[in-house]
Amino acid sequence: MREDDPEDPEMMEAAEYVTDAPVATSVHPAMRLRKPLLHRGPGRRREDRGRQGDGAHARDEPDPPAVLRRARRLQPRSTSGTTRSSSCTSSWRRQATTTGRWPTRSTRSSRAVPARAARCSGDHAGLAGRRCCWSTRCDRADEEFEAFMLEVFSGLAGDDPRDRHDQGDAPAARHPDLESHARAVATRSGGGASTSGSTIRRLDKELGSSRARCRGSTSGSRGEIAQFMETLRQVRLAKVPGVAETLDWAQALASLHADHIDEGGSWPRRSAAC
Amino acid sequence: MAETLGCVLKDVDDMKRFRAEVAKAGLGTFLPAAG
Repeated sequence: MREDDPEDPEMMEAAEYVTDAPVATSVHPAMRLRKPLLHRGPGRRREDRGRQGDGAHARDEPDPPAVLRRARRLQPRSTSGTTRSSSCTSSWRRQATTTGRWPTRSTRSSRAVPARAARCSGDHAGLAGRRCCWSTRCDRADEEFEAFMLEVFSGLAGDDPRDRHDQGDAPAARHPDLESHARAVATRSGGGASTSGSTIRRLDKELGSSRARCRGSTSGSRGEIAQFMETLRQVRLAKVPGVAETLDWAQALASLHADHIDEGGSWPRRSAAC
Repeated sequence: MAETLGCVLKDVDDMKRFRAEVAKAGLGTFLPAAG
């Protein structure tokens, strides 16, 4: 018979339980997305655990729990260590736009293997029954390719009948606040009417792709996420989040059953059903 | 939201900057205007 306290955090962490609620909230989407997730929050200090630290670093850096350390090592699934270069994606895009078909494996370069592939149904831009590429890192590799893929996925979101029963919203419906918010963003950033138009188009694309990828999210949360991200990009950041981060966040919020992002209480607000 | 920020912000300094922005001006600046 063990005499250990069953609620001892040390023991529970050793058994890979997460005892800290904020950390658990971070770990869940990280495990769900199978991606590393940066977590900053109050944690036990290393010096509190009797370790020798070096000044400010030891004071500021909490020691992550075992599960979080393991989550950090999780990487997006990749295929046989191949890399995709911009020239490959450009040639794919050219071939897809000129022929209206996605290049088959035989016509691709051998190193141009998509990081993740998904089967799509229906005839979307001539991609019927073919494997289409979706890379979570496409925004960091080639902006034109990202724009092209967003066009494709926007089309998928609009045409796919599976989207029509997604929370009962219209397949290609624009968020009611989208236009006014885009104008506000454009005004804030000092742009004119043309900036507003491009912002609307960009938000529309982002909404379309998040609609295609994140079926668990509601239309309201998707609109809020897209607008939030658009505003966040106005902040001077070392690494400006791209569409891939938007999709990850939407998936994470959907996994947490978060309906809205609001100021009241702990945000995002959880749905009543949850 | 705070727990899922890591999905969006991949840099520690960015996260500090964002938290400072929220502390200074509130989260409302990042949210769509109501109505």
